[in-house]
Amino acid sequence: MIAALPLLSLSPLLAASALLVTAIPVAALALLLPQLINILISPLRSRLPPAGLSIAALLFGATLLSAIDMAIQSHSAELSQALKPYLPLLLLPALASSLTPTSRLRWGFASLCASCTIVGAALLREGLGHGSLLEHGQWLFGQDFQAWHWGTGWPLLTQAASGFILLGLGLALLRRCHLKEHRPHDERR
Amino acid sequence: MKPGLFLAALTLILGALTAALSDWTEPRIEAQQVLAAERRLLDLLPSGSYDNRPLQRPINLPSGGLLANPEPSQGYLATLHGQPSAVLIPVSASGYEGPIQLLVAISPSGRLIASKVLDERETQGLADFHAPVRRQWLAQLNGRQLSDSAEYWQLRADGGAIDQITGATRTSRAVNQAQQRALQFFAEQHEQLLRGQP
Repeated sequence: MIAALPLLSLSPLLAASALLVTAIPVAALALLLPQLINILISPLRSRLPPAGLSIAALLFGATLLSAIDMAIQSHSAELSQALKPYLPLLLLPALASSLTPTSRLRWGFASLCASCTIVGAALLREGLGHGSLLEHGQWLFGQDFQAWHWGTGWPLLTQAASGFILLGLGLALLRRCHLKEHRPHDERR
Repeated sequence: MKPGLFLAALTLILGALTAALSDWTEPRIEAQQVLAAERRLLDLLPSGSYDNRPLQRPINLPSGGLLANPEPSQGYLATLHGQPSAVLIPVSASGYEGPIQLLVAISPSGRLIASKVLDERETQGLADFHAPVRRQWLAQLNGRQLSDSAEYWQLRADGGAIDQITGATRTSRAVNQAQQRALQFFAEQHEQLLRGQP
């Protein structure tokens, strides 16, 4: 059950990757939130039973997310509005990372992969789909920021389904590379 | 300390921390929301073209009529050095998927300064005005006025000079006609609008 929780982070990752300006904060949080929760519950691991540790992790995660949400609202109301549906969902993989016995290094690597995936997908979806880069960048970088535009894009990539298409292509590519690496010598002949 | 007591204490401490943080950030968040609302409506106007706070003195406009707004709405008067520099008028268009709510900025001489889509249900990726290319299409209509020739106002599909949005002729026509209705409303009511009165 807990091992399936990271799958729920797919929806914020895919939905927020439509634009770089939403992908960057979600990617940063996907990377940092599990680490922060892990750091905060580390001193409690020896003092609390597993059920108590889950509640403590949930409390720390909810507090951290609330603080981050308020910080984003103080910075830009528009950015907060755009991220509103996705931020709370990031708590689920973060909790899973603190509750499963998998090593921190492995979780850290998984978080890094998730963050790179969302930024990479956003680069492709915004660049090729909208024909722009960092549209609405003023939400993150201030009102003087100017986005780059280069004409028309490919509308399919702006749709939520394109996130799944890109993810599928990425997985197929990874699988192909993985198979090539592990194929025995004689099979190649 | 028992785990139950420890968790109760932790809940209280973190709850208090969140409440204190919320209290501390509240004024800043409210200020950001006001700024966001102003940016959403006033980014039509070139920077430096007004020095008042137009949203603080709204002009009440009736529902229906030329503007075709389903409910009474508010327009805004922008002034520079005490002189009117633009009037912002909300107008509704009947799009392909549903109503399109536009905000149109008009100069005191009755020229269309700019317009933007505030709300819409058009097909995403095809006719929605989130995409830069369709916002550019909207921007090409800037600078027109009612006295321009009919050909200058019509879509190419109707024998005019304006290229319609590819695959969204009905949306293009609806937006184009809504802009003309807003200009016509301004022409009829410009004396009251430029005084900041309904």
